[in-house]
Amino acid sequence: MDENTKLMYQRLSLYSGPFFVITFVIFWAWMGDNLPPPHPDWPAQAFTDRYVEHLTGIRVGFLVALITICFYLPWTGYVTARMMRIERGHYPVLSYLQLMGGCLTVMVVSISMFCWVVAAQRPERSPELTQMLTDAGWLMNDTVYMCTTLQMFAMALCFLHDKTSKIPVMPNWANYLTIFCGATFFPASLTAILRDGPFAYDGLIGFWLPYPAWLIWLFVATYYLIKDLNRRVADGED
Amino acid sequence: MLGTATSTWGFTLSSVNPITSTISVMLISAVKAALVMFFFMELRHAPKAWQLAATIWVAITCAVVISIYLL
Amino acid sequence: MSTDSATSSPPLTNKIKRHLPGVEGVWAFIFADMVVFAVMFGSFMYDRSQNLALFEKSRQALNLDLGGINTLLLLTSSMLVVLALNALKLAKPRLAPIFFALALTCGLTFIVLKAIEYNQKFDAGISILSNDFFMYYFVMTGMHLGHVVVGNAILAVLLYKSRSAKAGDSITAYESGATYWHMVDLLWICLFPLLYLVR
Repeated sequence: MDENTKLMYQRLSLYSGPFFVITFVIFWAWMGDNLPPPHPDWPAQAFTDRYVEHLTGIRVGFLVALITICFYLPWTGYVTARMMRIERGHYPVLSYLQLMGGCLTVMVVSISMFCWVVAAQRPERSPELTQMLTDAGWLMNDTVYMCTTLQMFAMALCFLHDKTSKIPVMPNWANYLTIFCGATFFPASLTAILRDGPFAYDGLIGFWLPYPAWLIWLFVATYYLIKDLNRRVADGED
Repeated sequence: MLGTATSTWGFTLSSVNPITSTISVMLISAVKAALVMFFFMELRHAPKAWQLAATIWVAITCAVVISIYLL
Repeated sequence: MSTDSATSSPPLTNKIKRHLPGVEGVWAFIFADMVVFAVMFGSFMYDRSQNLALFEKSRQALNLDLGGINTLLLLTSSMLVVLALNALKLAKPRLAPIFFALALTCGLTFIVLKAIEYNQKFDAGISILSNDFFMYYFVMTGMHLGHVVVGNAILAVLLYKSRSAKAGDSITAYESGATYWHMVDLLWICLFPLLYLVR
């Protein structure tokens, strides 16, 4: 593979990150009727009504988002390769941790959407089952976040300890922002216990903090990774 | 600083009018928060922008809490 | 306070470069964290205004003494960290580990007292699901306790590091850790009156 082709794939990998975020907002949040999310304290019938009223949007939205979520994978791939250049040697443990975290993130978010696709497949099911599938989908995201958190921590730690790059891949504040955004998932565990108020899965701390934090982080990280890639090309760094 | 803490404590144990006591307690803790930021966290020698950000945080948090309390 | 600042710091002139303690990122982290807590404070006050009687009745079940002692503990601990940093700055590095150890002891005592307080609540049959007040009480103090645990880990690392500190070493790492610990103190200064004293 010649250098230009390699570079093209590197760029495509990086741009697939923001591509995932944009499609996620359009298909998962907007078409999938997750903005605002359903209220966990609704009676079961309200969940069925929600699927019946927005059936096409929910079906198309989640089916498309299930495909585009996988664009998180090439992005994770590029970040892993970049981290391995910093973590030289035979034991790039942070890079591997980041790689595994990124892959599992895709699985966690996919399984959550899969629950909603199942719910939308037969909206005439007993409302209690529709309610349960909706709950299951949300709790998948909101309680199985640690893979993503570790991915973000590993990335930030690697870039913070970077002594080889002339210019740091990400500025100091962006690395700490990564750690902060990763930590915003922790209070989401409360969604399994509290069904009303700011800590429920449609609440201020349960939804409006961690989800935007994750998506904004991905934009910030991509911005600096692209800048770093351009600098690498300009300096002829391998 | 220790003095402020103890005064807050003793102050509310005695039965003063709830509204006066609450507002004074919130104002005292806002002052304490600002003192921690400027002296313990050494913001007094920090760039102006960070000082401004810290002051705004204290002012807004305190204003929001007191205005919701009074509403 | 004004006399304290006059004696402990040199007068600020234009010649002295303004300096943010620690690394910039820690400050970015701290502000983001404090905004989240501020949002929770506002949310708590709003829900309180919707159900004044319940919140006031529940508040009276809290243990004011333990909360007050914990405030003093964190303040003392913060002050000890300031002393430790001063020791490092004034080239008396042998004093720093002692101050860090004392600060860590305060931090650990805070956790023990918090555990006792939670146990009292559980013994009285009160849990996170009892009502909205106790939901906020357990979640906000619990999230703060999480910060205390992380802070104690940081203090332990600084204690270990300061044992081999020599005069003239960089103190950026100490400043970053200290800044975080002061924020933990600061949040409790706001959280304590909000939950225990507002009536």
